[in-house]
Amino acid sequence: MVDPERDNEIDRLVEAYFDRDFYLHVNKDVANAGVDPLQHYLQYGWREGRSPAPWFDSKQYSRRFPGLAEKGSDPFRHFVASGEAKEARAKYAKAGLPRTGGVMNRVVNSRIKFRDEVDYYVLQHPGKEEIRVSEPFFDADYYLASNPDVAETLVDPLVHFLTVGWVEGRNPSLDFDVRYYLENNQDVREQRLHPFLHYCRSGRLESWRSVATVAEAAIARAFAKNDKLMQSVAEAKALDPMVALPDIPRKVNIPPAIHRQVADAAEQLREMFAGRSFEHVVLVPHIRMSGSARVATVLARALAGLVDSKTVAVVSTDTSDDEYRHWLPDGCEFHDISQIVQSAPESHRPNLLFDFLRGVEARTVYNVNSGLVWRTSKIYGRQIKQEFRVMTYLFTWDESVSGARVGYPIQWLRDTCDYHDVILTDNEALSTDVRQRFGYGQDDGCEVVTLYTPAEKAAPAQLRREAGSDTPIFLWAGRFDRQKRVDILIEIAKRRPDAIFHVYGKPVLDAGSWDESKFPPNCVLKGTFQSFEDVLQSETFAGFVYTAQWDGIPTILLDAAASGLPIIAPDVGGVGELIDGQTGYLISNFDDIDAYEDAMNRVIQDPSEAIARAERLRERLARDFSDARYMETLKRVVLNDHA
Amino acid sequence: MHDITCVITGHHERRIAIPSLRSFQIAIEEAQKAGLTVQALYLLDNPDDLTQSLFERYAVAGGQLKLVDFADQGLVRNAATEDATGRYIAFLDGDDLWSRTWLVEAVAFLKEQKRRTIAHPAYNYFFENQASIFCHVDQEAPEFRLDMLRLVNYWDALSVCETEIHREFPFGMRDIEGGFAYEDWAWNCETLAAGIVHKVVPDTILFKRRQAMSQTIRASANKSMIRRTAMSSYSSPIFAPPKATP
Repeated sequence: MVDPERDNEIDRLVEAYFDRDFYLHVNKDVANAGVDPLQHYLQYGWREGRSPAPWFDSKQYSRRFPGLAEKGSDPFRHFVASGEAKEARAKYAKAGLPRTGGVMNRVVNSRIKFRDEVDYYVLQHPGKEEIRVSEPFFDADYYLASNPDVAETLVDPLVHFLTVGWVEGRNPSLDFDVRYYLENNQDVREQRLHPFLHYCRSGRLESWRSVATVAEAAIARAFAKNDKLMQSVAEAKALDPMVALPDIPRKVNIPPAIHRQVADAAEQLREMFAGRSFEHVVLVPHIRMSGSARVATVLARALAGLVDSKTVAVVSTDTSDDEYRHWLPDGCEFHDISQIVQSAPESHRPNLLFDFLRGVEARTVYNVNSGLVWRTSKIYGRQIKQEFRVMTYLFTWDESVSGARVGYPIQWLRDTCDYHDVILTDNEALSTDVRQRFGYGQDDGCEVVTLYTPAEKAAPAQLRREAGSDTPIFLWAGRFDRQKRVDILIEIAKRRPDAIFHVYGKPVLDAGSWDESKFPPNCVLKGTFQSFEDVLQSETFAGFVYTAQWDGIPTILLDAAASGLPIIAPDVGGVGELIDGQTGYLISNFDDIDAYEDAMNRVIQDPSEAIARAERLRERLARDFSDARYMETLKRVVLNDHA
Repeated sequence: MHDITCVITGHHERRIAIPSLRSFQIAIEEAQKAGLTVQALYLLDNPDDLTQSLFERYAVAGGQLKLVDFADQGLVRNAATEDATGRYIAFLDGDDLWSRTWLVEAVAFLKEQKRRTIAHPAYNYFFENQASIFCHVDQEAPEFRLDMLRLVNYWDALSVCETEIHREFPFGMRDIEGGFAYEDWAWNCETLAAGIVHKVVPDTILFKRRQAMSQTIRASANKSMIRRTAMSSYSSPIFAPPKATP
């Protein structure tokens, strides 16, 4: 029930307790706009989380009473109505905190004393910049828990710390000891700089600064006060004056504190795999839309058929993206360790991976494009090679914008070339390239093996079988990334407005530069697909057009080939091992639009010939890209060492 | 049979070995004053002439000097263990310093322990090229994290324990070319996995000279790793949850 009299009284109290000077000081936009601060607060400010007085933190109060936000009520009004405002304001005044920068500045004597120096600091209410730079390093929960007197007030803990808290010797988090910083950074002290703001702005980036956690500072102080230890130090200095050097503040190192995140990650991994062991570990970056993820699942399935499937695990190391996890065979052990590994500092991640492999007692490690494994191999390749059998899958290099070849088969392999037992590729072109560049032979410890990825069994596509007056439909599917040269598809489509292109895929690596509006109207963007078979059944197709600047043997071509689609594809990487004049339409130069147009003409005008070529391609698949051949080759490679 | 065998190892320390040799003798004298019988071993691993003559000069005061050719700190310590006649054994590197009371306090501490224990100083005081105080963490302290030991070393080799422990768990060999080092770290893992407790003697300190190119720095620059140990496997019994009391 509404009580107008009570409402009016609360209005009067809100006005009385509202601090105009403070509000204008911390809200420069309001001051600059020349509007009445109270009106601004009542109309907009509280909704925007602005505080009406230095002793009332709107956000903190709203967290205490979440129902207020749901009801759309002003937290300050609620507080004033509760009758607590008077006491809060009095507590704040007693705490000696400044209200604003300009009005209440004053010189205070700090409780932190340094020798005989006069120590004073000017207290100012922090502005937005000060809040912004210090907030990421301030632990409000720690501050409130370790300072119950502050917790009793409704003052923002960060504001309290930045103003009087640090002067009173309170610390902003377990990771920063105020007194230690001032004691050991003379310049900060002499210039009367705010120690924590200095640390947040620049000190933390200056490796030579003396910074200590609260625990380290406590040990340093206890050490200095321990007569017995100081006597030992004095005796050692007498024996060798070098003991006193370098004459700089002595850093305290407590291993569990320094390496807390590493310990956490190591413990989590060990608990995740408690008592488990996997002789064969397939390491992948992720299980998302990519040929390598697909090949990893093929490899996992094949391994499960070759060895005891309980000894095989697939582990993602780089991201938690497992959208295509359903590609893995039923019962396959899949674990994502990427988040745990990334919770540790980058410099320790290779050690964590090594620890994990030892932990699960791996014997053979299969790297299918795991960035973490490549980085670890660059540092600890020697040791990995000694402890594990290392099988490294390569698919293709990348090309930079200027056309330089880069990527795993190039500089990464160069840096780790002695640390692989077997290099597996999915195309002979890359195998030959790698053998030639690194001189790998049968007797030098690294075998290069081409392992054609078996084509999935596929229902036949619905094919356009007769030339006529219809509008032929072509299929394109892949990642909308620079490598796949979607721009070439767009040019082809512009040349052939009489054909329709069903385009499946999405940008994966180059998402930022993607622009759908560049497609002409005869390109129908269909998004991604979960089942290629569903795509094939959706329409009657004249053929499959593939574009790319560099590649291995893309798995999508295997899918298209298995379904009997006539294929037009560029002669890059290992594509020529699949497609030639007998089995499809091979474009010699990947960006030859005329050649693409000519091939399309031939497919459109002579569907029988196109289908005949596709049939020969299926025969090639059955011969060279079969499960049996994959298993036979893999068996020789995998079991060789174990025989 | 002595109460303790004290081992100082050297190779190319040259004149910086002198403060170490002096601290070695001072700590031994303090131990003898406290009633301990001491065997002093001066182990030289393929030394230069100056280092050898300095060691010889100090060894004549009472002790055995032994020349070996391992170029491996762990194997040198193992050789010392073979010759040790002390119930306990303590190691000092030829460029580091013991504090005067270290041996007395470590032995007294070990004698009080009911379980097999390895005693570490509470602090390592790094000097010369590094100004730091490294806190050794007691295995039974709340901040000790067992899983961390697989990735980070807690204690160095300048410990004191029963000589028998070193006979049972000799240091592993370094393999700089193959990338395996940190034999003290591996020894810590092996002994801990075997149920031997690593403890810190309160208020004790050793002084570690950090030279521009120490063996630890070389191992780090060489991207060395600790060898696989008894606690590398997640299935190691050391990680098994404690059995519930009936």
